[in-house]
Amino acid sequence: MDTRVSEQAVGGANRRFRPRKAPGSPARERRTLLYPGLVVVGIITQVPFLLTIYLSFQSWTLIRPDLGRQFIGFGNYAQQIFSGEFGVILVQTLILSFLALALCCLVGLGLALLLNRDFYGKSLIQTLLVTPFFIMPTVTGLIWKNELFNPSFGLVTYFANLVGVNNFDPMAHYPLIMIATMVAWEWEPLFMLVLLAGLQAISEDEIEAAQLDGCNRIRIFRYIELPHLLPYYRVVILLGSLFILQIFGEIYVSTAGGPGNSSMNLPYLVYQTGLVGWQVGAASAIGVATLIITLLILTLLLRTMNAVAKED
Amino acid sequence: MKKNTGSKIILYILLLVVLLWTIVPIGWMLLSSFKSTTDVLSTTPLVVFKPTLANYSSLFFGGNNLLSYMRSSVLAAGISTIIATTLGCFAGYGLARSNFRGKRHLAFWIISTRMAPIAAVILPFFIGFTFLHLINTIWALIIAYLSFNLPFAIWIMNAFFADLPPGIEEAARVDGATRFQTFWRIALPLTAPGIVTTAILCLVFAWNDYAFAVTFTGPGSQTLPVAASQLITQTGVNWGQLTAIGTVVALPMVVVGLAVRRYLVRGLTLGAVTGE
Repeated sequence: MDTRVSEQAVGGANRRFRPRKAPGSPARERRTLLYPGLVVVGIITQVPFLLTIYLSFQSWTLIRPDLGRQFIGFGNYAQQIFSGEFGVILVQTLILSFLALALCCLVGLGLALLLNRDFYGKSLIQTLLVTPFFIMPTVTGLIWKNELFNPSFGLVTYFANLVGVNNFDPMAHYPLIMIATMVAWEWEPLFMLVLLAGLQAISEDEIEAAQLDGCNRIRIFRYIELPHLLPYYRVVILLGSLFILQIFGEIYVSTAGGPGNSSMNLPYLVYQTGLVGWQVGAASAIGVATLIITLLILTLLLRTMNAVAKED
Repeated sequence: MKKNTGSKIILYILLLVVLLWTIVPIGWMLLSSFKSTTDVLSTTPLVVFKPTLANYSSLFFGGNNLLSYMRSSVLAAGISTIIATTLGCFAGYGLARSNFRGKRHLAFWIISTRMAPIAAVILPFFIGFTFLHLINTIWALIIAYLSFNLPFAIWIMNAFFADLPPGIEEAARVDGATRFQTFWRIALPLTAPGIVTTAILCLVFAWNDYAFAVTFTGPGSQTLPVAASQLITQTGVNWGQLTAIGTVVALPMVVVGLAVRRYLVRGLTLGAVTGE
């Protein structure tokens, strides 16, 4: 396999001019196209990752050069993963991601159902509704923290004070919920777009037939639209959770993981340990553990959704 | 049908609520960017105020010229997007149109490389870039962005090509087209919405990155998000300029994204049916 890889990768450009010994199978020829991308992915993702694994076995704190760097085996893993902090933050990561995803699924569906009807100014409204997806996470965090919920001059704070809520500072009191809302605000347009496309793919005949048979709106939704949307949900949930499990910018600018650790997720813990505390080894170990957990969650999610899709 | 007006009213109320939740944060930022410093900090939200361009003019003509940040942002995001999309098309097609043992595992491995938290690879990248003398250059950013955009591009393009019925390409082969021609002239144009979707998503992710940009860039290669963060740390926080820079950073992506919205919708659904 290895020799074939290099031969095809090198000879890809001028293979037309070489006499071919045997007509290669079409599949093998098409595979030639795969190699450049694969090689680049391999180098730029696996080299840093291998380095991360290597560092995760080292005790190395950059701000303590006197301690030097030494191999400690699984010491970092033992210390970091089984600390109470890691468990708490893992749970927070799950809560945060689940809340954000659930909000995205619900709001996205609601918007898709709304936009699937006809009303005045639909095109403009749809355009406006997509906008948050293109806003930078750090800018989102800044808007929410400073423009809307700043305890002294925030817009929402003002209205909260009007209706008599004092000490209105949800960023400090409910940081996880606030970050989940922020993330949902950013990602819900994607859910909306995909689900709307799913709704529009349902044939009108099917719905008309159901109406003739006496189905009301709710039954149409439950027995026609929802089953039809399942594959669309599958894609958008997978895509969404890939990014939502990794959010960083929103937390960085809005709460910086605080108060205490109460709004940290695992990627933020890696950042905090590695680039604030400069414990390179420990941060690498947490990073590797985070990757493994992410992989597990996504595999589990995929399995579950495939099972649900089969049942239906 | 009879309760048409009733349901119409509910529909419009719901729309209004949803529009508010989506638009108010952005609209408020836009509004604040035209306010003077005292107006921004007013405890009563000011909707009517004397608009000023002071925030923007100090961003573009002040001591710290925004144009060089902008150039770095455009170059880093643009080049990495072009490379990721091109290689993503080739590799995605190769993956979709070939059958071999472990193909599903390979596809999963490719996307799994996208799952590592950015913070975990920042240090290895930093060490590598220092070793290669790439730190403080735009290439460090391009490579770093490729590391998260390329796997994503391959994965999503694979779904688009897999969705294409192979019959069309086989017909072209019968008509005498070479394999590369079938890919270039047939498969590629047919997945245009998918390619646009991939490119836009890559562009958005690269443009919006903060973590890599703040670690790998120096004075010559700093991007817009870094400029924004500098407003927070230098002399207190300049809220007015911060909202202005937020607007400047967001605007290009919003314009580009909305311009290709139709493609985005079609592209995302193309992948939806077959996406693994």
